[in-house]
Amino acid sequence: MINNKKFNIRIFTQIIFFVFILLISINKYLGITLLPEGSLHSLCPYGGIETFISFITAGTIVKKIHESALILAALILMLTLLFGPVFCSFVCPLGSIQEWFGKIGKVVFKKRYNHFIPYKFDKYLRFLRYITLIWTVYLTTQTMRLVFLEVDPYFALFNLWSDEVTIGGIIVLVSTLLLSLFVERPWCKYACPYGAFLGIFNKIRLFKIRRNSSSCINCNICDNTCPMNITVSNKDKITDHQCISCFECTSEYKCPIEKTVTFSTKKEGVK
Amino acid sequence: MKLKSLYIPLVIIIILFGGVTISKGLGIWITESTKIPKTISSGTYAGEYDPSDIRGSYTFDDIYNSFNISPEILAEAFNIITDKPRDFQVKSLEDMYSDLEVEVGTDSVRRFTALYTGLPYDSDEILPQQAITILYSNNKISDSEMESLLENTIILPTITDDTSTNSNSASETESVINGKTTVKDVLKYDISLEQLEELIGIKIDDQSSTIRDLCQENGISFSTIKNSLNELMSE
Repeated sequence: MINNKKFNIRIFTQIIFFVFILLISINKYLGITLLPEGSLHSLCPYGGIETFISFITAGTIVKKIHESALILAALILMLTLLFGPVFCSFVCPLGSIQEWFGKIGKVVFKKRYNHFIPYKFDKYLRFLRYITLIWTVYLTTQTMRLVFLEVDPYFALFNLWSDEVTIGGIIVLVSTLLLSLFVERPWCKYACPYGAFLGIFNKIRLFKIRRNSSSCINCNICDNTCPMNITVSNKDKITDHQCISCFECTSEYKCPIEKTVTFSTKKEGVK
Repeated sequence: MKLKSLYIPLVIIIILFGGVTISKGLGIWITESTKIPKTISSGTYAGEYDPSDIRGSYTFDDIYNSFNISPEILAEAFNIITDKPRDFQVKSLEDMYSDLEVEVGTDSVRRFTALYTGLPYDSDEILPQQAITILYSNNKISDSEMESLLENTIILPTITDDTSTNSNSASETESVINGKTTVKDVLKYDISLEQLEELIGIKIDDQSSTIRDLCQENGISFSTIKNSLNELMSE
């Protein structure tokens, strides 16, 4: 029998999606007919968010973005309303590669890893990504161009070999990967506009991370294990805009007490 | 209701791939540009295709389909020698003419299209002299409009669609005659004073005079002289 604590389905899914996106991005050289057609722009859900305002107000789509991006954005929004930003934790290749770099940092810095930035600063820095969100959507709507492309680390990651890659994108990508050696998912925490957008729905999503305080032994493992540094141990349910539904804090993974931290629609015993 | 992490990938795959499959079935899964520009939403030209929405990915054939300008005319306007003008992509212009001091690219095609069709497009983009000549010879612009456009223009080098140029490189043949061009400037282009005097039909004493002033003082059309000079220079 497969033990989920050993066989991490999330990491397995991350690898599958990473390879899938990689294959799509190099498919013009490979020519695999089964893979989706079109550029990476056509499969970028954030492109759907960026072009949404112009699509609604003027019926036009920003250059390089296509209808498929709007559809993907809608499907991921549906997932988010049900389960939170599982796109970030299970699918996003940029999130995955940050985690993989972070594993090196964990080996090097051990318990200090992911705790370098003092909380008094960190709590404000977490809102920087909303500035990125507003800035990119505003400028994209005004100019009808993908302005974010100039600094987009996700696009740079899968276009390092193409002439479409930008210097800004490479700089942000390299900086992000280097920072991942000290901080878990730095791009997601401080800069990702799509993560910022999806995080808003943590307040109203159907399935939430819930803690059963009656069985909790206050070991704080859930707090220490959260990649996004959310304090789980003093809450009954997690509605923090930074939660990415990664399951790391749950009883299925790190919480040592069964049925104490769960991913559920409502607290057990509460109707 | 509790959910284990094992089910999340399944739900993701069902929603994402199921959603994509359904949208494909509905015909709304579009991953490429439709190559049809948006239409003008209001005003006199409401309902007409908007030249400002021409994109770099469009071919000359796409422009023909929406604006009824033949690919051959577009190729001639932008001085492109090709067997397949229909397949020429607008964005290729920027690469082909990247050596020029002024940018000739998608915006230039938009402006040319707007002037050719009479559709509105607010731009002061420089048009190549070849494009201006075509607009004028097809009665798309007036004398005064041509003179105004020729104030700031450029002669394009001849380009083939595989981006190889003919014997003249862009920088070698780039030559601009405008209102500030003096006689002395013209003489730098292997045109003798005698040729210039013969062309304008007057005796030139002061080489610092501008060609335009000389034309105006002697009642000669500046644009006609300008075209003739540009032809001489491109030879």
